[in-house]
Amino acid sequence: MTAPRIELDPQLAWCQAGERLLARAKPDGHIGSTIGGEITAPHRPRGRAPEPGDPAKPLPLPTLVVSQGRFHDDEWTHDPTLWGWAHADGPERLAVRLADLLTAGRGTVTMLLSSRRLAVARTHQPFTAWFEADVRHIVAIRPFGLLTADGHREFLRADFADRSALLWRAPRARRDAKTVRTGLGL
Amino acid sequence: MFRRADARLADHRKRTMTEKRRLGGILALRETWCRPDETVLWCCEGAEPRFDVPGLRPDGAVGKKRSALDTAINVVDFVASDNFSGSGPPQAPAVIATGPSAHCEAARMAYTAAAEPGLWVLTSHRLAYVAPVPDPAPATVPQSRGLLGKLREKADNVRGFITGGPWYADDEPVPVRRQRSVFEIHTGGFTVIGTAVRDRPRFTDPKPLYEKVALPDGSLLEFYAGPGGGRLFRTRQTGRLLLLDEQDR
Repeated sequence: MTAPRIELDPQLAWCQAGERLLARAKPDGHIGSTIGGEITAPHRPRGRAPEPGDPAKPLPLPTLVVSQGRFHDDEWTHDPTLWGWAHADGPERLAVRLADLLTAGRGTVTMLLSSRRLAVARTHQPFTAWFEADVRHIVAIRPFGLLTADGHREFLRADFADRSALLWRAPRARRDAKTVRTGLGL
Repeated sequence: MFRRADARLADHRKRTMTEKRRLGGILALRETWCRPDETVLWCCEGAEPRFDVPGLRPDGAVGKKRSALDTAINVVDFVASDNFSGSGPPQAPAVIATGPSAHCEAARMAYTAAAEPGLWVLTSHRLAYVAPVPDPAPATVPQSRGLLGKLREKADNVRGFITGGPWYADDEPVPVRRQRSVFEIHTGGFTVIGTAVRDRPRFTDPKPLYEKVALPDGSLLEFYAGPGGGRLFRTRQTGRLLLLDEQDR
């Protein structure tokens, strides 16, 4: 029998003095990716990632039209199993690194965005940062939305300096985008 | 007799739950209806079109148009009713058919669309009204035997009720509902005029935006495009994400 997890507040457990947590996002679905024109849904991690303690909960798979890359534009956003999407011209880009870790640690890890750092971390005890980068890699963050057959969905899109981008579902995308942009002076 | 009604209701519930496990909307169109090179510009539900044509009432019934006083009374009734909430979606009709007579193309198309639930779809190739392919007659549902079977069935029902939305089988692709054209017109058979405010404060939304589509006989189909101000994403399904206005809401 496993011991109950104690969730920690990243502002207290991770942020340093003078550092402010601006946004957090925990994947509850698959991530898809377009890397150098190749579409993969669900995303297959390209780099090495730590082993999550617990295996991820099984999920339904994306629709065939999405997993086979037969969709147009942003139609993947209508797929109820997809939480996010990474766009990059190569596997070494930041969006792909994030997608790798968020895929490997689904159900366990959270993406954190502070006034100084961008991280993927396990936020329950013991708090473990799997990855950290300077938040100045983010050059833009914007809220997007659309109507789907199951209702409205909102997404945040972070554009990185290496020209890669990551989109993820954010129920309060407008508020989060404003908080992050104000906090980072973008 | 009550037992028969209960059985029908149970059967209906079971079918509804099965239907919920198949995705509709743009991905269903893409997988079962679109051509590979066809871009879906938008789609919207076609329920309860409004008719602005002589000889028809706004709901499509044959008869004289309602007077302005009737309309005003209806609006007051609606605002006073529980359905109205100041922050809720605007109550402008999704589709309006306008033309010189009840036999114009726009009215005929809106009538046909009103007969079954479906989606109006504008693509790079056509304007169409699309509906799910009807299911074949439901096979006899095997009755669950034994206490365990019944409990499992109840648990499924409760799960469906609590989640309220679609749920799909783990480790299997999300299935989609097959779609078919009820009717369609190819580009050249219609002209998209553009989006404009429909300046008739008949609805609770006084300045609704409508996208007008002209048909060869001069009649118009108008599709609700939102109240403007960055909230357009609330009204129609699109294949592209729309940038949200951070000041909105």
